[in-house]
Amino acid sequence: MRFLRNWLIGLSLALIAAGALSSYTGKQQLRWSAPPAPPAWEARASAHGYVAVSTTKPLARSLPRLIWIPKIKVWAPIEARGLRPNGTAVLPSLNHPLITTWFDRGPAPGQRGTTAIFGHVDSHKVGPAVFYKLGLLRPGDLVYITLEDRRVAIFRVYALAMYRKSSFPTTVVYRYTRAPTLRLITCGGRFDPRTHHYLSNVVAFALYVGAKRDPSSGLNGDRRPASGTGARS
Amino acid sequence: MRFVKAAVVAAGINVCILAAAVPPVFEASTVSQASTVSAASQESSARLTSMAVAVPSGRVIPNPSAPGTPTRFDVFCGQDAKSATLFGQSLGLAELILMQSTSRPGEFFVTVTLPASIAPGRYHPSFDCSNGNIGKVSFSVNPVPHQAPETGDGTTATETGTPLSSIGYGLMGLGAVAGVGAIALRRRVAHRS
Repeated sequence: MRFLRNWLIGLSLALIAAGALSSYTGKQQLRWSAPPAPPAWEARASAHGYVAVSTTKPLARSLPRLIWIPKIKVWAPIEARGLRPNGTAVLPSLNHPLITTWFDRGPAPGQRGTTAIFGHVDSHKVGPAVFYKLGLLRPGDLVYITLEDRRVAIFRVYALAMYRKSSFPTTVVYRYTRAPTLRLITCGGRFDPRTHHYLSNVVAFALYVGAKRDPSSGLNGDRRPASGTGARS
Repeated sequence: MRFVKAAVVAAGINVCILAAAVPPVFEASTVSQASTVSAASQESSARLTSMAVAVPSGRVIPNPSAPGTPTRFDVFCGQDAKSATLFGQSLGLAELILMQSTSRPGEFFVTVTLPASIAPGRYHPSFDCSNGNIGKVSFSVNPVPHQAPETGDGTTATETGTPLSSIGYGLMGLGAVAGVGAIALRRRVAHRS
């Protein structure tokens, strides 16, 4: 009888220990940290219609091919896309989350007006995607876009914003600007597991500040800038 | 011969009248200059470059425009015009929009914000001048995406779990049952002795 009692006590302790270990190991957790969001003050600055003024002469239309953002170590190809029949922008496939798309019904980078470039924040294929760290950009950071004519259009970030999708201000984001400007757009904020959608969008506002010739720009993706480490970091 | 002479004289008079009616020539270089200067000076230098020939005539800046974009309409009605009105109904705006005069006689402008809901396409709003001239200005509205883009599937924001957690809770439950059994057994042994 004593043996049975001791055996039961031992079994009980062993089961509780094994159960505790197992539940700790299998605890629900984030595999990655959530995408970074811009500070609130940035959102306010953009929402109040910050006006970008450029004294740089705009470029002629040339299709964008590559985007390079040293601050967040993004180096990615750009594909031209238009609109779906329902009026939404055609976005990169989630199966190819390391490329970006340019809204080709609007101006090309460096042209007068607002250029829009979209990229995924994450994807089941790779985890963090091309614009995962977009929320880390700050005013003054530079964005380089290599064009088909081998020029590189240079933009300087002047504001960052996070907008709820339910009240996304399309006129603030996409409206024509006299100066050549750029919008980098991705998802952010809280994720709704029921709808499988993020509740907000992160938008980086940038102003065209100049262009340079880059004969070694690697338009076919065969050569990346020395300081870039790829679309993911 | 007399008839031919009269015709020539009449034609000459007509040419003089037409020449007088032609407005001052607008600087052809202003468009290229505008691309290099600030927004403020662009506004002031937005002169009508191609309106020297036709009266009335007009232009739209920017062209193409986009929904939600402040858009400027410049018209030239002829030097004797005192006011001009833009018909905004086709743009989803007020039916009559009074235009402001510029420093040049007969030249008027107005800046309106296109509705966010305006459909992309080509538009030809009319304008009416006080001297009886009626004209149209043509411009395009480019499409912009309507809704917020869906750029992500939540992979980095979704909590990941394994069956280990539920197995662990089960094991702990079994352990508790075994513990209760051991205690009950101990009491039973104590009761017997």
